[in-house]
Amino acid sequence: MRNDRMRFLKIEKRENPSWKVIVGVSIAAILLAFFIIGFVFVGYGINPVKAYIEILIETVGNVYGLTQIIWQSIPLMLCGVGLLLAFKTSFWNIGAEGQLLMGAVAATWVTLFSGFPGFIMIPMIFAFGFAGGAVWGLLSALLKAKFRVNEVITTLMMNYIALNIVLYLIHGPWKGDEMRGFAYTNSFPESCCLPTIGITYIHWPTLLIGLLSICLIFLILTRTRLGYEVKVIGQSRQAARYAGIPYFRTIFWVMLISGGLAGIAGAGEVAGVHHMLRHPDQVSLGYGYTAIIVAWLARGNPPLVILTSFLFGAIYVAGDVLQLSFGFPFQIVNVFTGLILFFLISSESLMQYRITLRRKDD
Amino acid sequence: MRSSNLEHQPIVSIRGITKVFPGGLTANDDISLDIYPGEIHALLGENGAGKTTLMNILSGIYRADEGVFFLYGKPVQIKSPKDAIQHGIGMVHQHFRLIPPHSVAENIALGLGTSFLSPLKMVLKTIREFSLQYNLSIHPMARICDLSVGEQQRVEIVKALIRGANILILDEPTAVLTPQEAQELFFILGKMKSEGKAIIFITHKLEEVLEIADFITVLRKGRVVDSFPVSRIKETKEDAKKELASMMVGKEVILKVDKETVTPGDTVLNVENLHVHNDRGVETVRVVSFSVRKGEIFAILGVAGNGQRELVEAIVGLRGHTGVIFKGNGRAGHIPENRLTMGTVPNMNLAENMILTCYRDYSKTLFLDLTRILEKTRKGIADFRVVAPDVKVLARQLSGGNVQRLILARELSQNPGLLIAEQPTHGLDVRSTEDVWRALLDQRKSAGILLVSGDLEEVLSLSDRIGVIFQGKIVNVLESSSAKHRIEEIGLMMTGGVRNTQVS
Amino acid sequence: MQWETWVIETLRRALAYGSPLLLGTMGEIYSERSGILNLGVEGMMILGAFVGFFTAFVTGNPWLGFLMGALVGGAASLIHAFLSVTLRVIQVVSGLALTLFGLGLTGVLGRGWEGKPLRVSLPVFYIPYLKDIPILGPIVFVEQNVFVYIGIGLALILWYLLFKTSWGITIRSVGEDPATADALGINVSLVRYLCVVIGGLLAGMGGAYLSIIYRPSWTQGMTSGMGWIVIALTIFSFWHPIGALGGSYIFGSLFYLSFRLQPWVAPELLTIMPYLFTILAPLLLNLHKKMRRRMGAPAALGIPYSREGE
Repeated sequence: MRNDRMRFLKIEKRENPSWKVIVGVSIAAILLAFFIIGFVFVGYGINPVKAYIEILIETVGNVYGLTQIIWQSIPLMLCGVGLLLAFKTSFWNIGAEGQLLMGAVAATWVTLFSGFPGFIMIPMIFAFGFAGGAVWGLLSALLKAKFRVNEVITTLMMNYIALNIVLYLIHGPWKGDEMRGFAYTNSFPESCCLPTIGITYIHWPTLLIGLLSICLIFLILTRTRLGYEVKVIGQSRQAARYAGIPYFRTIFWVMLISGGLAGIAGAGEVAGVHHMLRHPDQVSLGYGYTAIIVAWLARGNPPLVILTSFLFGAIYVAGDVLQLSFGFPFQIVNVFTGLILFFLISSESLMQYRITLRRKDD
Repeated sequence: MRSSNLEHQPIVSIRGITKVFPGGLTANDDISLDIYPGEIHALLGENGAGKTTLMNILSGIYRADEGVFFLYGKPVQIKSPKDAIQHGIGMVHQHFRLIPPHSVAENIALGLGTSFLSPLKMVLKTIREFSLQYNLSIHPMARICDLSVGEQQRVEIVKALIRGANILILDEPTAVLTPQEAQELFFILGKMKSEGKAIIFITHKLEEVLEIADFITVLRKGRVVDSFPVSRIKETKEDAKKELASMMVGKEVILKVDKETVTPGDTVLNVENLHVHNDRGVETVRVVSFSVRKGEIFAILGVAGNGQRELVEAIVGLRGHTGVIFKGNGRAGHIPENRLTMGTVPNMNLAENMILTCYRDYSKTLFLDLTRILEKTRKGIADFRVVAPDVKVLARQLSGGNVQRLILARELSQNPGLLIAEQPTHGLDVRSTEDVWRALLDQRKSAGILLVSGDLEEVLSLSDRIGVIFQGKIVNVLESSSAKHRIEEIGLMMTGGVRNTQVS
Repeated sequence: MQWETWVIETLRRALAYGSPLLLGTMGEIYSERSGILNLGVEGMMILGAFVGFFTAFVTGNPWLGFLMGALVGGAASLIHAFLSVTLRVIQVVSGLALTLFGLGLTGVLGRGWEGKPLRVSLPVFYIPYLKDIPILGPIVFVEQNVFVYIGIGLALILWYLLFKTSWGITIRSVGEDPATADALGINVSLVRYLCVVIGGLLAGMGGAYLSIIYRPSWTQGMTSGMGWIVIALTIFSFWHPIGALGGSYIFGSLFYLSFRLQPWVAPELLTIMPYLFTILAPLLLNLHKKMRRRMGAPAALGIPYSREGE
């Protein structure tokens, strides 16, 4: 036990924060972020209560809003659960954004340039999307395992390399015939567009894959040999060495899956939503980065990713609502995400300690 | 030589220092001794004798539970390393606290409060002065990572001296030096001594003690055995060493366990001409050969730091080696020295830890067989009396003894042909120690056990044959039945008092 | 002849383009040298850009703009410092949060200010005798704004501070081995706080450069990833201010070339270069063990420090 000596407070290390504490603190962090955003609203002459009510109505309060949330949460779900796996093994994959984009690139190649027959297009789109993201992720894994280059750097840099690759393609060799001031590729033919639910944007095949992935990752982590190896490496590389667990081989599978899932997210976006490859900032609204928080908030539990991706999907839609109804810039979403993250990580740290007032006899 | 001049006062007086670590281990038990200026005072003892703990207290890293220090006759409080430095106490640790990519001068200047614009000027001047004064030749602008170990040690010494150390503590300084570097060090220490500095020299090597010490204090199991000037011990070197060794290890060992006789079987481990290097590239295992058979416990007895760790790592395959290592059929179980950093994953529960080294057996289909795992865990916990409310408890919530029981349960239930146990009862309470010993003796019936330990009592109680290791070589191999009567000799072997007489 | 003027022009422009990179990188070098990884540079730069623009616009004084930009960057970095040094959270996440926050906040606050041109200017120099030095003259001393010189000056000062003064020894030791520094009586937390704030001040300044000098206006997201290049450059320069000098001008020239060579080479292929270099540099360094220890990252970078209890 470590006892810090401060004048009025006694700080002791808490053994194991209970579930109630964790959930309570997480919710408090989110609410606190909402509260602070309220001040920004006030600063712009908008009544925060009115704004929040409007948001609630337009997001979870009506069917359209809900469908919006769902389709926005699809890439968050896929990237998020993949990141959860990577974080479990202490591999800090900041590169979901780039892996997503490379999946989009691969999917675009399949639709516009591969010449596959129509009936296997959609499976191929997903397969190649997976492969694109997986390869991108594996490069970072290789650099870490064999050359000891920190994965935060490599994954981050590769995000920007991927971004520029997409820019290069849409301005260059893959430039579409019908350019109207913006750069994008040709539209995807019918056979390559993912079916959606009714008139919504929800491209359900990707959603299905997302939900299945969550089940898959859950299974892997709780019931398989690989999951065990992942967890041991994430907790203690020394113990992993002692146990004879091969580092590179485990990281290989982890990044294959993590990158691959992000790649599927990218494939889903281009084939299911945009039906073309366009500017990276429109293909991904920062999904790869938001997914980091989605994964973090789920605290290592794959099923919770459904909840957290839904939450952040709702935040994205809320941003839309603010923009449409109040003329508020969409960027408020980033403020919100940043704040939540701040409060979450601070609370993580504070949860480690129990702070009580120092009694007279201490 | 200590003069009988009444004005010759001790620089440091230690009175009644007691330190008990959480878990019940008494590292220092009412220790009192005096350190005089102008003397080299050797602190002699085995592992766990309490030497390093005492010096850590003196240098402000730990705080004693009881006892006082007197500096020049006045009582002082040493609450932090900074306090110690202010009182003129400087320590050179076994593991240097230097910053490899920085230069010698930068390392010495750190925290010294030197001039802002030319921080190294004063340091360079002082290094030059010390070089002349003490024959400490170091190149001030060389980077630490480019220096030899001996040179790095000298940087640590200068660091202490430049901060005004009058009392210099060196913790096992020759453990990392070549014989030549050791001689250079002794020369430097001699010069410092003649300047009136007090030097405390922690060691387990008798040869050194007799060579340079003026005064000796022998510690055993946290207590002072005796404290006396070198001139007092017997005339001949051999006799002197015997006397010291017997003080260090004690005259008798009371054996607490009953050992059945077992006929040895096939060889489960054969090591020939083994050479192993440590992380710095120094050869720490030199031409080691021995074998272990099923049905016997072969102990490698020695003070920690004589190559045991590299030896074990080579045998289990975590480190490269030259020479022959032959392991018989069947698995090799390994009970590592670091229970919590290596032997278990502290934040995982008991079931997850129970399969750490055999998880592949419980996941033949790539899926974990949770039922079998839970079963094995429950059985293991019961068989080995691991005290835990349930299987979901995390390993870090167990006491040291229970962690070790868990590891034993895991390794022994795999029916290894060879079991390697490193310091298995280090830091454990009496109950747990007995449990561990009983488990090992049980396992001996069906396996060959390699026991690596520095605890003489443990080794004599458990083993059938003993190989004493010193500076990477097996000095001698004894039958434990005869070892009981040759304790002084064993003490000498462990501390370098006997030359290599190994018969292969 | 034409080829030569072309090279000179490239290098001349490189100095201008590279200056915001230089400022940001020097700041991040200080932060990382003390052991704190700050991925919030993009956020701090954009905050500095907006506040700098806003101040300069409202007061008509560009210098005040730079000052405010720097201060805002410093204030933002305090958040990261608190989280990383005192609360000891995972620095990667804290930095990312700061970037998101900064991008978001400036997007919200800057809403009504887009496209308004800034009609203030800072001195542009044509230094008389020095500009006639062959090759170097036209590059460095012709038509360069004052902040290019401030940047070079700062680089030299910060280099000297980091490697030749007692403060520098302290900072670098804290980043390599905080335990040793702590044992020698150094206040590790204070040193780290200061270095992170220096990083914030310089990042804010670099951002202000963009909105006051480079493109005197405000556009949402106008840093366009420059903060990430700063992070890359910190590594590429081997955590050395002089390395940052060279590196930011190399990256600056790549940036310029990506425009200039557009008819012949796709600009994106050149923009990729900095990121590629940043991956290759530590890769090649790690291959040689001794070099890695000498020139690699500060050993304690990214690792929260806490004193060992008993």
